[in-house]
Amino acid sequence: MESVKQLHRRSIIKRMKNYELKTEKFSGPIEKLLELIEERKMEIADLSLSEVVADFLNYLKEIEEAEPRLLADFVVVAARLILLKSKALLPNLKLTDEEEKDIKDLEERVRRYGEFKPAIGLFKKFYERKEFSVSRPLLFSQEPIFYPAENITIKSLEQAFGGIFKEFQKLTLESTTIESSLIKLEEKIEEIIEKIERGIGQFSELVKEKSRTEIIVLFLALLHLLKDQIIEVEQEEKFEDIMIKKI
Amino acid sequence: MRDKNLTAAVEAILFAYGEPLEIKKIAKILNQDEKTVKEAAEKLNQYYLLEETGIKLIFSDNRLQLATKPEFSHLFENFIKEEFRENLTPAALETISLIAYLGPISRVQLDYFRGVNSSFILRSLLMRGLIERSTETKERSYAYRLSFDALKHLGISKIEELPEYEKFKTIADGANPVQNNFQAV
Repeated sequence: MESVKQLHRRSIIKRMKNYELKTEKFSGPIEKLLELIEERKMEIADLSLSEVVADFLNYLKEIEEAEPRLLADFVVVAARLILLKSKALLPNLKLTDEEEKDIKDLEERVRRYGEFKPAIGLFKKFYERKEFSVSRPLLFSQEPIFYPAENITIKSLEQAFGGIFKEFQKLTLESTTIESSLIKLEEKIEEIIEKIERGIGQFSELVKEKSRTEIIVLFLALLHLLKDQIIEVEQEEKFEDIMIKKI
Repeated sequence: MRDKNLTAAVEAILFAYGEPLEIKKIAKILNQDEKTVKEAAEKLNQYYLLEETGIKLIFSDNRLQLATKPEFSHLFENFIKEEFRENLTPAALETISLIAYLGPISRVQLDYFRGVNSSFILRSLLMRGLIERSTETKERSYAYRLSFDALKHLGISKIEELPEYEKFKTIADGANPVQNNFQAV
């Protein structure tokens, strides 16, 4: 059986995966620049970087709409590209040493990414091939020795189990309770409509012999129907019976 | 202890222990210095290169582990649960490739390389047991490297066995994030 920790780990991994799927449709800024330059079959240099500014900005718009969280990383690169483009268009524009360095740095990074890229493919091939090694679990051959800890008592076991139970509740209860009450509310709404149609018009009749929780849900259902203007109600005084009529 | 016995002793310890074991610890158990243990491990490794054995040694980060040779993986495909069956997403693949070839590598360096924040992917790779981290870098940040389990999955004995390891490793040299830089925070 899986331990609570494993279950918990699994649920975290699942959540992470959902997140990954959302963000990983997009290439990173350096990768994107490389893609754009390669599409044009150009060499990576000042000039080719400035050629792809417009496309890069379009991509940035896509990101902004789909995954704004990633935007910051792209904006920084975009800023450098725009600077580069400005320089290409205005030859008189003087850049500071730092700006020149930033542009060189960007060029260098795109180049380096391009050089490394084949390694990703090689790694993938290795990762996906089916030849793997297996090792033994820790001290696998150790013979069992009966050596109980002093603090193992019925009580401590009970406590530990209580703890496990709580962990389980954290994992499962959350979703189940909400679900069942949702279903109930809808059921109760139908129940009220059906009863009104059959001529029962008093709230006291509706809740006759019902449990406390059901009464609460019935009352909620009543409020729903009221809000949706399916019924109208009348109550002469506080805590008096509520008369229900279909509109 | 005589040389031959020492090699055998290292093997015995690794067999009994099962999981990756630090050379330092083996040295302590055997009351030898680390250099002697390393030499014994190297002898053991030579022996395992013989076709007559189905075992090999895995090295990483001054630790050793015994494992089966990858060419036999088909024999136990049916009864060993492989944990890495699910394929990696492109970004995860990019990140783990960088860690494999350039590791141990810090997150700052990774971000610099990729131009985008890697912390989320790193967390997920850690959770899947594909990478591990240690605090060895000068900046006191974490350094990431492939885990023993990942090496076993790849079927290699040490990271240097990756195809064209030296070539890609050198690409990283000189790729030092500049201070005023725009690596993602």
